[in-house]
This record gives sequence, structure tokens and C-alpha cells, in this order.
Amino acid sequence: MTTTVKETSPVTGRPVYLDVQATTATDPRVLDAMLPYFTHLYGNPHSRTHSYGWETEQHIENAREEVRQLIGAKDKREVLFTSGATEANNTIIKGIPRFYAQDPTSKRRHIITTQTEHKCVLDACRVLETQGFEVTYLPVSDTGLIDVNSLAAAIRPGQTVLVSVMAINNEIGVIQPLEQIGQLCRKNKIFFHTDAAQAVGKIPIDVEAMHIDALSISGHKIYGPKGVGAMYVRRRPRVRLEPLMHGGGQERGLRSGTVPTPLAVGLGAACRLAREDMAYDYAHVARLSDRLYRHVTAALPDVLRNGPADPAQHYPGCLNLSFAYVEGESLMMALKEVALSSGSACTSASLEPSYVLRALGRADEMAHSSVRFGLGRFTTEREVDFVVDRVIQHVARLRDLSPLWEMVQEGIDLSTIKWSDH
Amino acid sequence: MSVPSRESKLALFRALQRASYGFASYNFRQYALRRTADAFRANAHLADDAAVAAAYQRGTADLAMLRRQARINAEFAPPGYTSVIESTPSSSSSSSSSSSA
Repeated sequence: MTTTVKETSPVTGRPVYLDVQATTATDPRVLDAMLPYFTHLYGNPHSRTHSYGWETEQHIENAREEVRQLIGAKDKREVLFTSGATEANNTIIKGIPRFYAQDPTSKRRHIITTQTEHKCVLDACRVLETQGFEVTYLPVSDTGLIDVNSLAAAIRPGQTVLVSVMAINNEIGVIQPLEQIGQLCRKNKIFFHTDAAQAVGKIPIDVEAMHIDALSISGHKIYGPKGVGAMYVRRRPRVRLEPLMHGGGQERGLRSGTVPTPLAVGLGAACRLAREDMAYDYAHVARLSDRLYRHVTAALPDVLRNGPADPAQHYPGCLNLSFAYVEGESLMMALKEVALSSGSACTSASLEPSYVLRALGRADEMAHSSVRFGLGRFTTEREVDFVVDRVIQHVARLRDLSPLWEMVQEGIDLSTIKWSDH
Repeated sequence: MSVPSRESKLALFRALQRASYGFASYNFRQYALRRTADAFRANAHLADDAAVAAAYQRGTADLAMLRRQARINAEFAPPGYTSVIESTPSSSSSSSSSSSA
């Protein structure tokens, strides 16, 4: 069963955009860097026989260098352009285990990931399960963090080949302990991959300090263009993988296909801006997130934060709140002046409660009442105040309509009620 | 690289602000205004002549970019493409009876 939230009555003006985990606006500075490659510089960067190719190749290499610097890689040859984080995740998660299982006697057929990964990681793992690989899906705590001790216990010496844990969760903003996971993996000679689509450019990521062997990046989550991303694949100690794309042998043979110059240059520009302005952007987003949370919770009781409150474990630009006794879908429908989502865009057509929130142990009704507020570089204080105002107004109104809310106000404990079966 | 005068720094600041207003998008416009003001505030304490000159040169390059991008942004703005924030008269309308109920 699917439903789509559509405008029911005319709204004057475009809604406030608070869905930056789904995608971000392309920064005008990024577009400015890209435009010459749509107007004059159209050479195939892999053409070696003329200047059209040489010039675009040079600019692609500059972009690769920008990505390298943002993630602290040693060598820019470890950065490979892809069509996005989904392709990077698929290439790495399928490619690494498949490469090391080429020998039929190999026992390295075990992968560890978490229950709260993005769909593309989980689905790539499901495919591997149908091909003779075993996957452990680690549970998370009630704030969404993985327990490094249970990760250690899940490792099968000589069998586990890959651990994949996302850096920042797209629904609740939890930051996983990457450095600890990396240390554990390195000690056990297991490859460590992190889906950093929501983290790169937002918080400091250092593939050396964190012992990350493979990492996925998305362009359009960091104010870059859609249709481009990158994967980091470590050279020392060398990580090998079986490519998904075969062909011209571009990108060290790991991702054949002509690199799209305008997109790669756009990703490079987005990474440069993210690196130069990381502290500036973070401070802005943290201030707005704090403002939103404080004002909403000051006016409304029974608002629960999904994810950790500790800023060391939570990215403030992803604020996920459950409004008890209010249905998230109804709230989003009422908040038609705000572009919001209750979870990932990929599953926003479904009425099912989020699998991420259920993995936190949230009851279905609390998972159903959640809304994700995504704040970014271009969000303004005035927008936050506008949204706070509307949220308070509509949550109060929807609660007034709710018989459950009325019972709670009368002091009835809902968990003691015996609902009759129909 | 010569050190820019106080007047030329001020002129650059005003030109950047004016160019920022060229964005049709509310969010880009507000960001450009905020970023310009914060950059000038952060650079106000620069003592080293070379650093001041370098910052001024960056600002000049940014101005050219800002003018181009504001123009493109305005040229390609779909009709009626204003933010609800701009079409809402006051921002301090807390819990008063507004739009839908």
C-alpha cells in the first residue's frame, strides 16, 4: 500500500526546504565551476591524442585531489569517480567479497553490517546472501549506536572479509564510532567500509586515522550535482575488488565508463567548499538545530528525540523527532508549507514505519509519529522560526483531535488499557 | 599586490551585498549576504598586508562569480518561484490564527 502526500489546498510560495538528507540544492559556486564543461570544454578526458582530452583530464585530476583532501587519503589514485553513493556502495560491498572468494576453497565469505544501513547497502548484502555469502546484521542501541563489543563478537576469524558501517545515519543522524571500528577491523585483518554519504563534508573524516579501507561519497548530499559520487579504495594495504562495470578500464579498471567531466568537476568544487567551510557550516547548522529543538520542546510536551543527544554522537543537521499521539503522516500533510520527510526518500512512499526507528526499539506508534528536520548550509533562522511556529500550531491541533491524547490528559495510562479485539 | 584602501574594501563589500540581492532564490540570497558579512567580519582583524591583499583578491573573484550566478539564478527562475517565507508578511506570528486549521 502506498500513499503520496500532496498539496490539498493552494499554498502561496515554495515550502521551506528541510529535507537535506534526501538531496541538497546545488551551490551556485559549484554550478559556476561546472558550466565551462557544458559550454566549451567537452573533450573526453580519456582522449590522449589531442588537447581536448588533455585539458579535461587535468581538471578531473584536480577534482580528484579535492576529494582526496577532504577525506585525508594519502594518494589521489585511491579516489574513483562513480555515479553516486549507491554505485559506490554496490561496487564495494559486492566487489570486495567476490574478489576474495574467487578461489572456491576460500572461507572468507562472511560480511558484517548493521540493521540501520541505507537500503542500497542492505540490498547489496541480500544479493550476496543468495550467492553463498553469509551476512550478519548487527542490532543497534536505542540511540542507534552500534556496540563495538558485539561487533568484535560477531567477527569470525579467517571468515569475515568485510565490515560495512555507515558513518552518519540518514534518518536519525547518529555518528558511529568509526575510529574504534576501524582499529578493530585492522587488528583482525578485515576490510572496513563506511557509507559516508551523509558524513563527508559535514564532519571531519580521515581515512588514515579511522583505518577506513573503502568509503562511499555522494555529490548531491554536499551541495554538488546529482549523478556523481566517489569511492575511496585503499592502496596500502591494498584492497582489491571485482568491478561491477567492465569496459574501457577507466578509474584503474574498477569503474569503466567515461568520467563525466562537468559532474566530476562539480563534485571537486563541492568538496573544496565543504573542506574550507566545514566549521562555519557546522556552527550554523548546530545553532539552528538547537533553536528548533529548544523552541519546539519548550512549547510541546511528549516530544522525543530519535538518536543520541550528545553532539559527539549526533550530527545536528538531522533532527528526528517523534510527536507522541500524532501521526507523522498527518503532521506532514498539515505542514504543507514545509518540505519534510519522516525518513529516507526511498521509502517515503510507504506507510510502513521506518525500519531504522524500529531497530532502535521504538514502538510502532512512536515510529509512526516521527518527522525528520534536515537543516543545511542554506537554511535560515527565519525559516526555522516559521517551522517551529507551524509545528507547534499543528501538533497542538492534531492532539486536540486525538482521543488518546485526551485520555492521557485525564491521567489514564494507555499501556494499561485492554483494547477489545475486533 | 598592493594593499587595498579602506574605501575600496568598503566598496567591495557593498558590491558583494548588491550582487547577492540579484538571486531570485531566497535561500541563496540570504546565504550570500550572510557569508559576505561573516567573511568580512572574520578578515577584519587581518594585520598582515599580504593576507589582506589576498583576501581582497578572493573577494573580487567572488564578486564576478556572484554576479554571474545571481544572473543565471534569476534567468532560470520558474514563474511564481518565491519562498513561502517571502510571501508570509511577519515572522513573529506565534500561535496566532494563521492559514489552515
